[in-house]
Amino acid sequence: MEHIHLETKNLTFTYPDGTQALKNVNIKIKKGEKIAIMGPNGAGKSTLFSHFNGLTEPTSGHVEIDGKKIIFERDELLEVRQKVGIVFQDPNDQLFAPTVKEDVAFGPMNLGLEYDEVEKRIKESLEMVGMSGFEEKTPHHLSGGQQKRVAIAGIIAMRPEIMILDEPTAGLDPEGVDKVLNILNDLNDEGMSIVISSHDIEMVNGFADKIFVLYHGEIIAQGDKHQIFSDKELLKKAHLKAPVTTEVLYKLKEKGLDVDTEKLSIDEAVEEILKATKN
Amino acid sequence: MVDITQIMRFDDLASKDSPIHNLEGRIKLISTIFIIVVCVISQELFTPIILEILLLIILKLADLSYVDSFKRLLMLLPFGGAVIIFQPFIQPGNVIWRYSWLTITDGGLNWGILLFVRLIVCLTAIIIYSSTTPLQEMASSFRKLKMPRDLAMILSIMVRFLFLFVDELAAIRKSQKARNFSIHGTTTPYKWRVKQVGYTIGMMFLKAYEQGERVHRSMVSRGFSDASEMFDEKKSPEKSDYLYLLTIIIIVIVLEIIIYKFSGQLGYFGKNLGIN
Repeated sequence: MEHIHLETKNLTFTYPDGTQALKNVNIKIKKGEKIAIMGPNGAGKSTLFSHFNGLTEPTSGHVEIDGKKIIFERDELLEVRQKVGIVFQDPNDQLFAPTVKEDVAFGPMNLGLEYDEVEKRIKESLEMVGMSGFEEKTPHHLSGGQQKRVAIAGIIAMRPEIMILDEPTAGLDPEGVDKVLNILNDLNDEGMSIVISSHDIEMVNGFADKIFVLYHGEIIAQGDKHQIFSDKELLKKAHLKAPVTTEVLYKLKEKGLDVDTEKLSIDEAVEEILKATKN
Repeated sequence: MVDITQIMRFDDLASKDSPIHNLEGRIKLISTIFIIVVCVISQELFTPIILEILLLIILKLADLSYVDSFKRLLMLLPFGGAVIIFQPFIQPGNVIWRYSWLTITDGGLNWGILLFVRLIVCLTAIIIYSSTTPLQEMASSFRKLKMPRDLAMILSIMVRFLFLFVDELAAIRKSQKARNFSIHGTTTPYKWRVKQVGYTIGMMFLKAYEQGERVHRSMVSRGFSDASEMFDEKKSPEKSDYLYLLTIIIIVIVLEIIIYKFSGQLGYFGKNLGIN
């Protein structure tokens, strides 16, 4: 049987003012998967994420980590928060210490680790995100991309098994996006499960193994990128757009060319077009 | 007008490179407090004046501008100066000047002079400390000197978010300016302009509150609880740091010996000007 790393069962959350943010959300994340949760603004992505490590208590339903239900008690929560690390969208919400080093140290310190171990983890995680040498810098003086990477280092230092990132590439320049994605792919290669939320279709297209579409607090679709991105009705409903390759293939198909619209990567699409034009 | 964004400049100033800037944060904090304490308990002018000369030398070593430091001193002076200015008129002693009911006494005047000299020395010490130590280093020095954990945490977080706060405020003001808003403008009613400034302040409160909530969530997400310890780098002061502190202590001891042995020969400078 496959190892289910994180699972939500009939997760429902209603805000005190009566707004239903999540309705019966059921998702399963397997170990080592790269997941993207997509949906328009206000769909409930951030609310869903805050349930993953027990920051928010569900109104009904529950979350399971490694098959174990999250119990809202201090020691249990500490363990959950070590296993499930969340990188918030705005690094300014996360980087609160006066120096990069102290910020990265924050998580490991809360785990009650020895000083030497904390030092070691700071070094290791900053190296991993390519921010060695910035230890004594003030987070405020870093660029957006650098802040993002330090925020990720702060989570890596806790050695989580699952990393959740809310809009990890929002507001970054293309190089910054690539750097963040490389870090995430490296972590994934080491066996970490990664969950991101994003509207950036092209980025998700290149990154995710599996996609969940969240709309008005409900999961309206799930599947691999071919299934999700070739469903034009679904994308329209969820206020999303298909990747450019899909758009092009659809247009070609409309014009009578026999192409497979499920080809998503640029290379695949080019192959498909060449093949179709030769026939 | 002094702009709030000036704080940033002070911090840049504090991050320069000089023998004084490079001293360990705790040593600087301790020596500043030491100088202030010695100066406040001395009853003669001799010790504070020599300490002031010492501070002026340190100021030079720290490569700080005398003019800028003097300006900052003037800015801070009114806070203590207001108390001092009344002293000659309210303290008992021999009357040396009288105009109707207004009198100046020698005791009061001496006391006022002593207070004034003390104030100048304290302010100089603080100006040197604050212009050679970045805010974050101050926070960590306080922490290393066993400041209560919660207070230290608040201080650290304040230092970090002060800059964000300034940025946010600057951004709002810029966007207002981009739409031709000026508090001194004449094209709009005064009341309306004041209202806009009120909105800005309200918005800053709201933003600060929400930022606080979000930061707290992210801290909790990383396992923060009331039992959490803060990370402090184990960096011990070097020889030169101890040497700096030792020099100041030796100078003070020598000064005290001089006062004790030769106060009679120092004239007015060696005279006890205290009021009890």
